[in-house]
Amino acid sequence: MNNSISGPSKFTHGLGVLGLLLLLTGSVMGLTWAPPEQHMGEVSRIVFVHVPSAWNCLLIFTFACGFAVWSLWSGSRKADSYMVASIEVGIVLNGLLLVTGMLFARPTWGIWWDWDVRMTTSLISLIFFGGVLAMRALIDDPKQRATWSAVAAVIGYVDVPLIYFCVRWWRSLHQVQSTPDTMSPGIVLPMRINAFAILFLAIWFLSMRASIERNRLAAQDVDQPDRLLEGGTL
Amino acid sequence: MNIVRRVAATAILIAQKDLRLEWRNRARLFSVALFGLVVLLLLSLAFGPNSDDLQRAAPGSLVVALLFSSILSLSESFRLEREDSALEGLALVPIEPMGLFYGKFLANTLFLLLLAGILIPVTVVLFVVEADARVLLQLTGFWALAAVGLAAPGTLYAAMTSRLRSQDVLLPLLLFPLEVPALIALVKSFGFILTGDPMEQLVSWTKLLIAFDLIYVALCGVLFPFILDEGS
Amino acid sequence: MRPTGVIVGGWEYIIAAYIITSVVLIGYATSLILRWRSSRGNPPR
Repeated sequence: MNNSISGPSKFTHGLGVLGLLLLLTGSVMGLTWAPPEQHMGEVSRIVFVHVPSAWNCLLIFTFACGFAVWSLWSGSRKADSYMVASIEVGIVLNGLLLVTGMLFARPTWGIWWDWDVRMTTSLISLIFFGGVLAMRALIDDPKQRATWSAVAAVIGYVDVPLIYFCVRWWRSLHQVQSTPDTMSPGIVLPMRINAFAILFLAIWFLSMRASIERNRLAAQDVDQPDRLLEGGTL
Repeated sequence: MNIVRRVAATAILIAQKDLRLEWRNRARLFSVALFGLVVLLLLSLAFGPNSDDLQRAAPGSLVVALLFSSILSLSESFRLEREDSALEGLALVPIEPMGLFYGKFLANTLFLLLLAGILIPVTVVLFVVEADARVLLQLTGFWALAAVGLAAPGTLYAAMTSRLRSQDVLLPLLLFPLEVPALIALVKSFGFILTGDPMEQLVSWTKLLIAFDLIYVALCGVLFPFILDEGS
Repeated sequence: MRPTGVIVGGWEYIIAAYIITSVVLIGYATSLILRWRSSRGNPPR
């Protein structure tokens, strides 16, 4: 049990600042330097924030599943704190990608919402992982909270590809596949910059959120020292 | 190989216990089935009285009624274990925790199947659907596939949420999003069964349901012992 | 997307998307910093 106050390292803070700067660079490039896409015109500039948040969202939920397995395996608080952090950061990015997706759908498809594979899948994952956080909030015992939310996170993560395939079949008759063949270098570069920018920011978010969780748990140990006495782990 | 036999023996024992308990008072089946009927009634009132509209809404309504009443049934399944800390008692007995899960899962699956025996005929009547015995059998068969996929994570989640405050909100909140693939597959296949399947798509939906079942029956069985460890 | 021609304009959607992204990211960062401070606020011994 580490009783010192937990916080991100200098390196992580630096990564966060770098992410912020990169996000500014990539977005300015996307808004001015990148050429408009040949069919979608100027509106295609939304993809420079939409697609990177989608990639990172999926990546972060994958982290969440990995941390959940680690947490179940080891029962360590560190694993649990990183798991809850990844779920929360994933939810933020998930919400962001849904909103920007809707803002993209309106001018291109003429509708705010379409039961498109990716939109449907991300909406369901948002609701599911929101449910995991809701469950966490209702459990007082830290050990129980860690195990149960890890179990729920693993089960939910396994569901994501299933939902994806299912929705794809569901819509099989009028599937609109967006084609990446028109990707010019002017589009690829800002997209990559923003993808790394959001990744670096997300790592800082993760580190901050995990520190918060560990600090709270440490404070709880002081408030309820009897928990520590019960077998040392509870 | 020995452990497989032990798990199976425990599972059968637990399932027998659950079914016997249910059989003794039958309150759970009665109340849950009645709830399903109320949902069907509400949906048929919402979509009716035009028989074309009703027929179009029939597969979806049946699935929704089945899912809603399943949730009630699943959350009931651990209430009994919760009372008097029966689950803690079971966890202390030297039995395979996995067997405990599969026993509960078996009992829950059978229970969900019984539910279909009541709700499917009622849907056929209320939603003015043309159905012969073969169609009824097919519907029940597909529900059986979905019930397995519903009961596996449902049993696991019910074991967790039964010990929490506001369990009645949490169980559906966690379970319904998870069941989206099963729900879509079920609505689609019910639709094909009731209105015909010109493109032979039923097979691929069956495969999807089976894949869903296999994944969750295995995964939930592996994860259940972790939950039991953190009981109390 | 129907390939009937180029979609004209739509800058209001682009601006909205970028503003929402920055507001969400900055808002979340702020909430993290505030929560981190308060989690540090009652330090263990």
